[in-house]
Amino acid sequence: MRILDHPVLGRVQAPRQVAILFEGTPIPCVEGEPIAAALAAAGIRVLHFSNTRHEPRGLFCALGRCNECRMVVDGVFNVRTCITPVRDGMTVKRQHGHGTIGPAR
Amino acid sequence: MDWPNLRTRGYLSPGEIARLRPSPLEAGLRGAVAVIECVEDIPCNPCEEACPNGAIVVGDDITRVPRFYEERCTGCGLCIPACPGLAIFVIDQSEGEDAIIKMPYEFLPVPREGQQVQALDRQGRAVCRGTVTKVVDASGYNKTIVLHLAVPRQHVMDVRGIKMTNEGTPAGDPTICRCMEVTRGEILRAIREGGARSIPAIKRRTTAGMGVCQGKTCSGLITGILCQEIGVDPECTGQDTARPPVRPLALDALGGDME
Ligand code: SF4
Ligand code: SF4
Repeated sequence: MRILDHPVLGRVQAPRQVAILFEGTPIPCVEGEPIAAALAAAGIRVLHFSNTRHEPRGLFCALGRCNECRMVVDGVFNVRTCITPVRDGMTVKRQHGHGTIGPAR
Repeated sequence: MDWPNLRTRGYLSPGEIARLRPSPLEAGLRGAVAVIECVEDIPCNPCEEACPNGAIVVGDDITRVPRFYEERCTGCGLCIPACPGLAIFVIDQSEGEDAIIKMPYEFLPVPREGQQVQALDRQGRAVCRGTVTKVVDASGYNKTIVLHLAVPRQHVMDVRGIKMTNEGTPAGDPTICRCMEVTRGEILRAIREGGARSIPAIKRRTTAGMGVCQGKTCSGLITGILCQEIGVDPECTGQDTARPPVRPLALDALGGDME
């Protein structure tokens, strides 16, 4: 779901479509929206797996505070996808645990 | 001294309830009747609009608390989902052994009809077992569900919420610190068995608050648990020491050649 007509922010004018690659699958996005918003609109709710109990985790605070939306973005771990805008061609992967130092495999 | 209860604690005290007029308890013996637990002078009046029988009157001075005309109320319950403060209930003690409480419900999952649940008082404490006899999810109710809950009659003015028992879900021990995956049970153990009496003491025993979010999500919850357990005010629990960085940062940003 996307809010294209907001009571305060107004209507989104001519949204430009871009795409990101989520685990290899292209996901259509509206330019400028956060990665997690694009994934939510595509029905993808699991963004990472917790470190100890390996529980699926998803959007929680949605304002960059709780870190539950951390994913691997363009090979970089721990990117908070709820506050990171999409860019055309970006690669996004689910993160398992805390991540490692150095580029993601 | 119980008038300040709603403002200081967030729920009505028995004294505040006793002042509700007309007495819902007597009216409820004759049949279904609304109980309007609205005591603050706030600018709000959807209840007045919702009642087809003119039983609720706020009037032109929109900040007045609603006046309730019990004799006009048919107990239809249309006012329940209309109240944004979830302050309206309908009680019915006219039939059978159990009383029926109709209440607004805005959580997931929604209970099933026939499901046994724990009935809670205004403070969230368990009172008795209850049975959900009906779940009304009407389109005009704007996503507020109205539950009909059967409870023993003596509890009809105490029960105002439910807690689902955890059939088919992981044990009822919610995660409080999401980063370090520390549950409420572990925090309670640190207080009860570990003798923790401050937020830093709980942190040392459980690691709660030491994860990536730096306690931003859990410290308020942990403060609440500790205050409830040992009966102190939030000012007395101490604070975690905030240490940088406050958000995940690439090592490069600290010493490397990242811009
Ligand atoms: S239960 Fe029905 S009749 Fe009674 S106050 Fe509410 S809306 Fe009016
Ligand atoms: S709608 Fe609810 S909160 Fe508003 S005035 Fe009526 S009872 Fe009070």
